[in-house]
Amino acid sequence: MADRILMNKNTLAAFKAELKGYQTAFPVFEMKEQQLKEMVQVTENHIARLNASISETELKTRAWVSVMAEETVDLSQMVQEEEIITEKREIAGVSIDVFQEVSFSDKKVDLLNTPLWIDAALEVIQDQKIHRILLKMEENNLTILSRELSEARRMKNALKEVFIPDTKENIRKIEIYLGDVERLAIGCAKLVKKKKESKKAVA
Amino acid sequence: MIAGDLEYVMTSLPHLFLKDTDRERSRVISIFQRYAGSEEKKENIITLFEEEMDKFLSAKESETLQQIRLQTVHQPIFQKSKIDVLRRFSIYCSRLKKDLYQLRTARKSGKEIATTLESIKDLEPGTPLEEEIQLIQWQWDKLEELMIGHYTDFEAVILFKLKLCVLLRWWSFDEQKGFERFLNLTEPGHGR
Repeated sequence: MADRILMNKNTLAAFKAELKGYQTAFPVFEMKEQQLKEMVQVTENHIARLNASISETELKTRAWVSVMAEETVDLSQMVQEEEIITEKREIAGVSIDVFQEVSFSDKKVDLLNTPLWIDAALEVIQDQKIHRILLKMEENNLTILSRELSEARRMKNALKEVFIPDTKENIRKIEIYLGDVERLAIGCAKLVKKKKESKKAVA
Repeated sequence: MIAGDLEYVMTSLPHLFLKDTDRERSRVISIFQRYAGSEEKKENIITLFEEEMDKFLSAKESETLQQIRLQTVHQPIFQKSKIDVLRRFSIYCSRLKKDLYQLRTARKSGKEIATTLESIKDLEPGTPLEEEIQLIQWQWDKLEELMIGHYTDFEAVILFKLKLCVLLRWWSFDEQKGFERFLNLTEPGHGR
Protein backbone atom coordinates (compact mmCIF):
# COMPACT_ATOMS: atom_id res chain seq x y z
CA MET A 1 0.00 0.00 0.00
CA ALA A 2 1.38 3.33 -1.02
CA ASP A 3 2.43 5.75 1.70
CA ARG A 4 -0.06 8.47 2.46
CA ILE A 5 1.14 11.78 1.17
CA LEU A 6 0.96 14.99 3.12
CA MET A 7 -1.54 17.31 1.45
CA ASN A 8 0.23 20.62 1.90
CA LYS A 9 2.02 23.25 -0.08
CA ASN A 10 5.46 22.02 1.00
CA THR A 11 4.76 18.54 -0.32
CA LEU A 12 3.37 20.08 -3.50
CA ALA A 13 6.56 22.11 -3.95
CA ALA A 14 8.68 19.03 -3.27
CA PHE A 15 6.73 17.00 -5.85
CA LYS A 16 7.05 19.79 -8.39
CA ALA A 17 10.81 19.90 -7.86
CA GLU A 18 10.92 16.09 -8.17
CA LEU A 19 8.93 16.24 -11.41
CA LYS A 20 11.29 18.83 -12.79
CA GLY A 21 14.21 16.54 -11.95
CA TYR A 22 12.51 13.54 -13.58
CA GLN A 23 11.71 15.51 -16.71
CA THR A 24 15.34 16.60 -16.95
CA ALA A 25 16.62 13.06 -16.39
CA PHE A 26 14.21 11.42 -18.86
CA PRO A 27 15.83 12.68 -22.10
CA VAL A 28 19.26 11.91 -20.64
CA PHE A 29 18.32 8.25 -20.12
CA GLU A 30 16.58 8.22 -23.48
CA MET A 31 19.76 9.44 -25.16
CA LYS A 32 21.93 7.06 -23.13
CA GLU A 33 19.69 4.17 -24.18
CA GLN A 34 19.98 5.22 -27.82
CA GLN A 35 23.76 5.52 -27.70
CA LEU A 36 24.19 2.23 -25.88
CA LYS A 37 21.78 0.50 -28.27
CA GLU A 38 23.89 1.66 -31.20
CA MET A 39 27.10 0.58 -29.48
CA VAL A 40 25.66 -2.84 -28.59
CA GLN A 41 24.71 -3.26 -32.25
CA VAL A 42 28.20 -2.25 -33.39
CA THR A 43 29.80 -4.64 -30.88
CA GLU A 44 27.47 -7.50 -31.86
CA ASN A 45 28.35 -6.97 -35.52
CA HIS A 46 32.03 -6.94 -34.66
CA ILE A 47 31.66 -10.18 -32.68
CA ALA A 48 29.80 -11.78 -35.59
CA ARG A 49 32.56 -10.71 -37.98
CA LEU A 50 35.26 -12.02 -35.65
CA ASN A 51 33.46 -15.35 -35.21
CA ALA A 52 33.12 -15.65 -38.99
CA SER A 53 36.79 -14.85 -39.44
CA ILE A 54 37.83 -17.38 -36.76
CA SER A 55 35.65 -20.09 -38.36
CA GLU A 56 37.03 -19.31 -41.80
CA THR A 57 40.63 -19.54 -40.58
CA GLU A 58 39.84 -22.82 -38.81
CA LEU A 59 38.33 -24.19 -42.01
CA LYS A 60 41.28 -23.10 -44.15
CA THR A 61 43.82 -24.35 -41.63
CA ARG A 62 42.09 -27.74 -41.33
CA ALA A 63 43.36 -28.56 -44.83
CA TRP A 64 46.94 -28.72 -43.56
CA VAL A 65 46.63 -28.66 -39.76
CA SER A 66 47.73 -32.32 -39.51
CA VAL A 67 51.39 -31.19 -39.68
CA MET A 68 50.92 -29.53 -36.29
CA ALA A 69 50.66 -32.98 -34.75
CA GLU A 70 54.40 -33.34 -35.30
CA GLU A 71 55.88 -32.52 -31.93
CA THR A 72 59.35 -31.41 -32.90
CA VAL A 73 59.16 -27.85 -31.62
CA ASP A 74 57.50 -26.31 -28.60
CA LEU A 75 55.37 -23.69 -30.33
CA SER A 76 53.71 -22.47 -27.15
CA GLN A 77 56.69 -20.30 -26.22
CA MET A 78 56.75 -18.70 -29.67
CA VAL A 79 53.09 -17.75 -29.75
CA GLN A 80 52.87 -16.60 -26.16
CA GLU A 81 51.49 -13.08 -25.94
CA GLU A 82 53.76 -10.75 -23.97
CA GLU A 83 51.54 -7.71 -23.71
CA ILE A 84 48.05 -6.79 -24.79
CA ILE A 85 47.73 -3.04 -25.20
CA THR A 86 44.25 -1.58 -24.87
CA GLU A 87 42.75 1.87 -24.52
CA LYS A 88 39.78 2.87 -22.40
CA ARG A 89 36.88 4.49 -24.24
CA GLU A 90 33.86 6.18 -22.69
CA ILE A 91 30.48 5.45 -24.29
CA ALA A 92 27.49 7.15 -22.62
CA GLY A 93 29.24 7.00 -19.28
CA VAL A 94 30.35 3.38 -19.75
CA SER A 95 34.04 2.55 -19.90
CA ILE A 96 35.02 -0.14 -22.40
CA ASP A 97 38.33 -1.54 -23.67
CA VAL A 98 39.51 -0.79 -27.19
CA PHE A 99 42.17 -3.08 -28.65
CA GLN A 100 45.39 -1.42 -29.76
CA GLU A 101 47.97 -4.13 -30.29
CA VAL A 102 49.41 -7.35 -28.96
CA SER A 103 53.07 -8.23 -28.78
CA PHE A 104 54.32 -11.79 -28.86
CA SER A 105 57.44 -13.13 -27.19
CA ASP A 106 60.50 -12.36 -29.26
CA LYS A 107 61.67 -15.96 -29.58
CA LYS A 108 63.55 -16.42 -32.85
CA VAL A 109 62.67 -19.44 -34.92
CA ASP A 110 65.60 -21.67 -35.83
CA LEU A 111 65.09 -21.71 -39.58
CA LEU A 112 67.67 -24.42 -40.10
CA ASN A 113 66.52 -26.99 -37.57
CA THR A 114 62.75 -26.64 -37.61
CA PRO A 115 60.36 -28.03 -40.21
CA LEU A 116 59.18 -25.81 -43.06
CA TRP A 117 55.58 -25.83 -41.86
CA ILE A 118 56.50 -23.94 -38.66
CA ASP A 119 56.55 -20.56 -40.47
CA ALA A 120 52.99 -20.80 -41.77
CA ALA A 121 51.81 -22.30 -38.49
CA LEU A 122 53.27 -19.48 -36.39
CA GLU A 123 51.69 -16.88 -38.65
CA VAL A 124 48.22 -18.43 -38.57
CA ILE A 125 48.37 -19.16 -34.83
CA GLN A 126 49.37 -15.58 -34.00
CA ASP A 127 46.66 -14.13 -36.27
CA GLN A 128 44.04 -16.44 -34.83
CA LYS A 129 45.19 -15.65 -31.30
CA ILE A 130 44.75 -11.91 -31.98
CA HIS A 131 41.23 -12.60 -33.27
CA ARG A 132 40.41 -14.64 -30.18
CA ILE A 133 41.82 -11.96 -27.84
CA LEU A 134 39.72 -9.38 -29.68
CA LEU A 135 36.66 -11.62 -29.46
CA LYS A 136 37.10 -12.10 -25.72
CA MET A 137 37.48 -8.34 -25.28
CA GLU A 138 34.42 -7.54 -27.38
CA GLU A 139 32.34 -10.16 -25.56
CA ASN A 140 33.36 -8.57 -22.29
CA ASN A 141 32.47 -5.12 -23.68
CA LEU A 142 29.12 -6.47 -24.85
CA THR A 143 28.35 -7.77 -21.37
CA ILE A 144 29.14 -4.37 -19.83
CA LEU A 145 27.22 -2.45 -22.52
CA SER A 146 24.20 -4.77 -22.36
CA ARG A 147 24.04 -4.45 -18.59
CA GLU A 148 24.24 -0.65 -18.83
CA LEU A 149 21.68 -0.62 -21.65
CA SER A 150 19.14 -2.59 -19.65
CA GLU A 151 19.78 -0.33 -16.65
CA ALA A 152 19.28 2.80 -18.80
CA ARG A 153 16.16 1.28 -20.38
CA ARG A 154 14.80 0.32 -16.96
CA MET A 155 15.38 3.84 -15.68
CA LYS A 156 13.85 5.44 -18.78
CA ASN A 157 10.76 3.20 -18.54
CA ALA A 158 10.49 3.75 -14.79
CA LEU A 159 10.56 7.52 -15.34
CA LYS A 160 8.12 7.37 -18.24
CA GLU A 161 5.69 4.81 -16.84
CA VAL A 162 5.93 5.29 -13.07
CA PHE A 163 7.79 8.26 -11.61
CA ILE A 164 6.57 11.04 -13.92
CA PRO A 165 2.87 9.91 -14.08
CA ASP A 166 2.78 9.15 -10.33
CA THR A 167 4.32 12.50 -9.43
CA LYS A 168 1.96 14.29 -11.82
CA GLU A 169 -0.96 12.45 -10.23
CA ASN A 170 0.22 13.37 -6.72
CA ILE A 171 0.60 17.01 -7.77
CA ARG A 172 -2.91 16.93 -9.27
CA LYS A 173 -4.38 15.42 -6.09
CA ILE A 174 -2.63 17.94 -3.82
CA GLU A 175 -3.65 20.82 -6.08
CA ILE A 176 -7.28 19.61 -6.04
CA TYR A 177 -7.14 19.16 -2.29
CA LEU A 178 -5.53 22.54 -1.69
CA GLY A 179 -8.07 24.11 -4.06
CA ASP A 180 -10.91 22.47 -2.14
CA VAL A 181 -9.44 23.67 1.15
CA GLU A 182 -9.09 27.18 -0.22
CA ARG A 183 -12.69 27.21 -1.53
CA LEU A 184 -13.90 25.83 1.81
CA ALA A 185 -12.05 28.55 3.67
CA ILE A 186 -13.55 31.20 1.41
CA GLY A 187 -17.01 29.67 1.92
CA CYS A 188 -16.54 29.59 5.66
CA ALA A 189 -15.31 33.14 5.70
CA LYS A 190 -18.31 34.26 3.68
CA LEU A 191 -20.63 32.37 6.02
CA VAL A 192 -19.03 33.93 9.10
CA LYS A 193 -19.24 37.34 7.49
CA LYS A 194 -22.92 36.79 6.64
CA LYS A 195 -23.67 35.63 10.19
CA LYS A 196 -21.89 38.64 11.62
CA GLU A 197 -23.85 40.96 9.34
CA SER A 198 -27.20 39.35 10.24
CA LYS A 199 -26.30 39.58 13.95
CA LYS A 200 -25.53 43.28 13.49
CA ALA A 201 -28.84 43.80 11.72
CA VAL A 202 -30.84 42.11 14.53
CA ALA A 203 -29.02 44.16 17.16
CA MET B 1 61.22 -63.17 -32.21
CA ILE B 2 63.50 -62.88 -35.17
CA ALA B 3 66.23 -65.47 -35.36
CA GLY B 4 69.01 -66.00 -37.86
CA ASP B 5 71.48 -63.77 -39.64
CA LEU B 6 71.15 -60.23 -41.03
CA GLU B 7 70.02 -61.53 -44.40
CA TYR B 8 67.14 -63.38 -42.81
CA VAL B 9 66.22 -60.37 -40.66
CA MET B 10 66.19 -58.01 -43.61
CA THR B 11 63.90 -60.26 -45.59
CA SER B 12 61.63 -60.60 -42.56
CA LEU B 13 61.12 -56.87 -42.23
CA PRO B 14 58.03 -55.38 -43.85
CA HIS B 15 58.56 -53.89 -47.27
CA LEU B 16 58.04 -50.16 -46.94
CA PHE B 17 55.94 -48.16 -49.37
CA LEU B 18 55.52 -44.41 -49.22
CA LYS B 19 51.80 -44.57 -48.55
CA ASP B 20 49.68 -42.98 -45.85
CA THR B 21 46.74 -45.33 -45.57
CA ASP B 22 45.26 -47.08 -42.53
CA ARG B 23 45.93 -50.43 -44.18
CA GLU B 24 49.59 -49.64 -44.78
CA ARG B 25 50.06 -48.33 -41.26
CA SER B 26 48.45 -51.33 -39.66
CA ARG B 27 50.45 -53.73 -41.88
CA VAL B 28 53.82 -52.23 -40.89
CA ILE B 29 52.97 -51.65 -37.24
CA SER B 30 51.50 -55.11 -36.74
CA ILE B 31 54.62 -56.79 -38.18
CA PHE B 32 56.87 -54.90 -35.77
CA GLN B 33 54.60 -55.60 -32.84
CA ARG B 34 54.56 -59.27 -33.75
CA TYR B 35 58.36 -59.32 -33.78
CA ALA B 36 58.46 -57.73 -30.38
CA GLY B 37 55.80 -60.11 -29.14
CA SER B 38 54.06 -57.26 -27.39
CA GLU B 39 51.22 -54.82 -27.83
CA GLU B 40 53.45 -51.79 -27.47
CA LYS B 41 52.30 -48.58 -29.01
CA LYS B 42 53.32 -47.59 -32.52
CA GLU B 43 55.38 -44.64 -31.20
CA ASN B 44 57.99 -47.18 -30.16
CA ILE B 45 58.45 -48.74 -33.57
CA ILE B 46 61.92 -47.28 -34.06
CA THR B 47 62.93 -48.59 -30.64
CA LEU B 48 61.46 -52.00 -31.50
CA PHE B 49 63.43 -52.01 -34.74
CA GLU B 50 66.67 -50.99 -33.02
CA GLU B 51 66.21 -53.58 -30.29
CA GLU B 52 65.69 -56.33 -32.86
CA MET B 53 68.67 -55.21 -34.93
CA ASP B 54 70.85 -55.08 -31.85
CA LYS B 55 70.79 -58.87 -31.79
CA PHE B 56 72.40 -59.14 -35.21
CA LEU B 57 74.79 -56.19 -35.30
CA SER B 58 78.14 -55.55 -33.70
CA ALA B 59 78.26 -53.16 -30.75
CA LYS B 60 79.72 -50.41 -32.94
CA GLU B 61 77.14 -50.91 -35.67
CA SER B 62 74.36 -50.95 -33.14
CA GLU B 63 75.60 -47.70 -31.61
CA THR B 64 75.84 -46.07 -35.05
CA LEU B 65 72.32 -47.21 -35.90
CA GLN B 66 70.92 -45.77 -32.68
CA GLN B 67 72.62 -42.43 -33.29
CA ILE B 68 70.88 -41.97 -36.63
CA ARG B 69 67.83 -39.72 -36.38
CA LEU B 70 66.02 -38.04 -39.24
CA GLN B 71 66.13 -34.68 -37.40
CA THR B 72 69.91 -34.81 -36.93
CA VAL B 73 71.13 -36.83 -39.91
CA HIS B 74 72.30 -33.64 -41.64
CA GLN B 75 74.89 -32.92 -38.94
CA PRO B 76 78.65 -32.82 -39.82
CA ILE B 77 79.37 -36.03 -37.92
CA PHE B 78 77.20 -37.96 -40.38
CA GLN B 79 78.49 -36.03 -43.39
CA LYS B 80 81.94 -37.36 -42.55
CA SER B 81 80.74 -40.91 -41.96
CA LYS B 82 82.68 -43.80 -43.47
CA ILE B 83 79.40 -45.44 -44.38
CA ASP B 84 78.83 -44.25 -47.92
CA VAL B 85 75.01 -44.23 -47.97
CA LEU B 86 74.81 -42.46 -44.64
CA ARG B 87 77.34 -39.84 -45.72
CA ARG B 88 75.53 -39.23 -49.02
CA PHE B 89 72.11 -38.97 -47.39
CA SER B 90 73.51 -36.67 -44.72
CA ILE B 91 75.03 -34.36 -47.35
CA TYR B 92 71.74 -34.41 -49.26
CA CYS B 93 69.74 -33.49 -46.14
CA SER B 94 72.23 -30.79 -45.20
CA ARG B 95 71.95 -29.19 -48.65
CA LEU B 96 68.18 -29.47 -48.49
CA LYS B 97 68.10 -27.79 -45.08
CA LYS B 98 70.40 -24.98 -46.21
CA ASP B 99 68.28 -24.34 -49.29
CA LEU B 100 65.12 -24.42 -47.19
CA TYR B 101 66.75 -21.93 -44.82
CA GLN B 102 67.30 -19.58 -47.78
CA LEU B 103 63.75 -20.12 -48.97
CA ARG B 104 62.28 -19.41 -45.51
CA THR B 105 64.43 -16.32 -45.04
CA ALA B 106 63.36 -15.02 -48.46
CA ARG B 107 59.68 -15.74 -47.72
CA LYS B 108 59.89 -13.96 -44.37
CA SER B 109 61.46 -10.84 -45.84
CA GLY B 110 59.20 -10.93 -48.91
CA LYS B 111 62.21 -11.12 -51.20
CA GLU B 112 62.37 -13.07 -54.41
CA ILE B 113 63.42 -16.68 -53.98
CA ALA B 114 66.78 -17.46 -55.53
CA THR B 115 66.54 -19.81 -58.48
CA THR B 116 69.95 -21.23 -57.65
CA LEU B 117 68.55 -23.36 -54.84
CA GLU B 118 69.11 -26.63 -56.65
CA SER B 119 67.62 -29.05 -54.11
CA ILE B 120 64.29 -27.24 -53.86
CA LYS B 121 63.95 -25.88 -57.37
CA ASP B 122 61.03 -28.24 -58.02
CA LEU B 123 59.13 -27.32 -54.85
CA GLU B 124 55.57 -26.51 -55.85
CA PRO B 125 54.21 -23.79 -53.55
CA GLY B 126 51.20 -25.13 -51.69
CA THR B 127 49.83 -25.60 -48.21
CA PRO B 128 52.40 -26.47 -45.54
CA LEU B 129 51.16 -30.08 -45.69
CA GLU B 130 51.57 -30.28 -49.46
CA GLU B 131 55.08 -28.83 -49.23
CA GLU B 132 56.06 -31.22 -46.42
CA ILE B 133 54.80 -34.19 -48.46
CA GLN B 134 56.95 -33.05 -51.39
CA LEU B 135 60.00 -32.91 -49.10
CA ILE B 136 59.19 -36.35 -47.70
CA GLN B 137 58.86 -37.68 -51.25
CA TRP B 138 62.28 -36.28 -52.19
CA GLN B 139 63.92 -37.78 -49.11
CA TRP B 140 62.23 -41.09 -49.88
CA ASP B 141 63.39 -40.98 -53.51
CA LYS B 142 66.94 -40.27 -52.37
CA LEU B 143 66.84 -43.23 -49.98
CA GLU B 144 65.45 -45.49 -52.74
CA GLU B 145 68.27 -44.33 -55.01
CA LEU B 146 70.87 -45.10 -52.30
CA MET B 147 69.23 -48.48 -51.67
CA ILE B 148 70.37 -49.81 -55.05
CA GLY B 149 72.86 -52.55 -54.43
CA HIS B 150 72.17 -52.76 -50.70
CA TYR B 151 69.79 -55.49 -49.66
CA THR B 152 71.17 -57.42 -46.72
CA ASP B 153 74.15 -55.43 -45.48
CA PHE B 154 74.50 -52.87 -42.69
CA GLU B 155 73.87 -50.06 -45.20
CA ALA B 156 70.52 -51.67 -45.96
CA VAL B 157 69.70 -51.63 -42.22
CA ILE B 158 70.58 -47.92 -42.02
CA LEU B 159 68.54 -47.08 -45.11
CA PHE B 160 65.62 -49.12 -43.79
CA LYS B 161 65.69 -47.16 -40.54
CA LEU B 162 65.82 -43.85 -42.39
CA LYS B 163 62.93 -44.89 -44.64
CA LEU B 164 60.98 -45.94 -41.58
CA CYS B 165 61.71 -42.57 -39.95
CA VAL B 166 60.53 -40.71 -43.07
CA LEU B 167 57.39 -42.83 -43.22
CA LEU B 168 56.65 -42.45 -39.49
CA ARG B 169 57.10 -38.71 -39.80
CA TRP B 170 54.43 -38.61 -42.49
CA TRP B 171 52.18 -40.87 -40.44
CA SER B 172 52.57 -38.52 -37.47
CA PHE B 173 50.63 -35.88 -39.40
CA ASP B 174 47.27 -36.34 -37.73
CA GLU B 175 44.40 -33.94 -38.49
CA GLN B 176 42.53 -34.44 -35.22
CA LYS B 177 45.63 -34.14 -33.06
CA GLY B 178 46.94 -31.21 -35.09
CA PHE B 179 43.64 -29.36 -34.89
CA GLU B 180 43.44 -29.86 -31.13
CA ARG B 181 46.98 -28.47 -30.81
CA PHE B 182 46.06 -25.53 -33.04
CA LEU B 183 42.98 -24.70 -30.94
CA ASN B 184 45.00 -25.05 -27.78
CA LEU B 185 47.76 -22.76 -29.04
CA THR B 186 45.33 -20.08 -30.21
CA GLU B 187 43.66 -19.93 -26.80
CA PRO B 188 44.41 -16.46 -25.31
CA GLY B 189 46.73 -16.80 -22.34
CA HIS B 190 48.08 -20.15 -23.51
CA GLY B 191 51.68 -20.69 -22.41
CA ARG B 192 51.48 -18.26 -19.51
